Amino acid sequence: MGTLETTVVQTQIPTRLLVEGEALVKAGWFRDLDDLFIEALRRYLDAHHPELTERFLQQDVEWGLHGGD
Amino acid sequence: MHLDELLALDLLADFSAVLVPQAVWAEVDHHRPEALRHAEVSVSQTMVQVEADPAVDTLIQTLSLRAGKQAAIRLARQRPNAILLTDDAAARLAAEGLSLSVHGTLGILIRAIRRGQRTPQEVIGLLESIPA
Repeated sequence: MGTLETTVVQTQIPTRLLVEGEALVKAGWFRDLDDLFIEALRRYLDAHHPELTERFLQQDVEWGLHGGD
Repeated sequence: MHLDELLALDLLADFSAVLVPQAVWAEVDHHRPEALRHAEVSVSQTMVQVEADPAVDTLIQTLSLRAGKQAAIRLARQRPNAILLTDDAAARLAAEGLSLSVHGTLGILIRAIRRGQRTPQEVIGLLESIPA
């Protein structure tokens, strides 16, 4: 896919979670917090793919039946 | 491409234009070239300006979107009144994050009933023909 430019994203997270994340980075599980957050999001998407698909299908049905176009 | 596989590409005929980013055009032209030359559908190959857009760039990287999906997202972002058509979950998630109007093949099929392009029975037949 090639090298992608990175962008800084600001977000608010519970301090407790941040402390746990920093501990994982310090222990060597992740290169840095950015790496951890990206991996967490990718794993969430992998684990919830069926739920996402069902939601998208429901949205499609709703738009198909009642869309304004 | 899924609509063409279902022989239902004509369901896009009542959209004023179907814009296909160059990266997607190349892929479709390789696998299903006839989909780009449908007599009833106004399909146009479209160059996508890659503009600095932090929100798009972040979502593209985070969701690992490939070139075609990236281009489609960027094109939809530049056309506020457009509808992004994709069945890719990651691309739809990115589109939602950018508040883009996004729908998939099922939406087009169901819409065909509302628009009088197909009867409910015909759409059910198309849905049943989709491989599990």
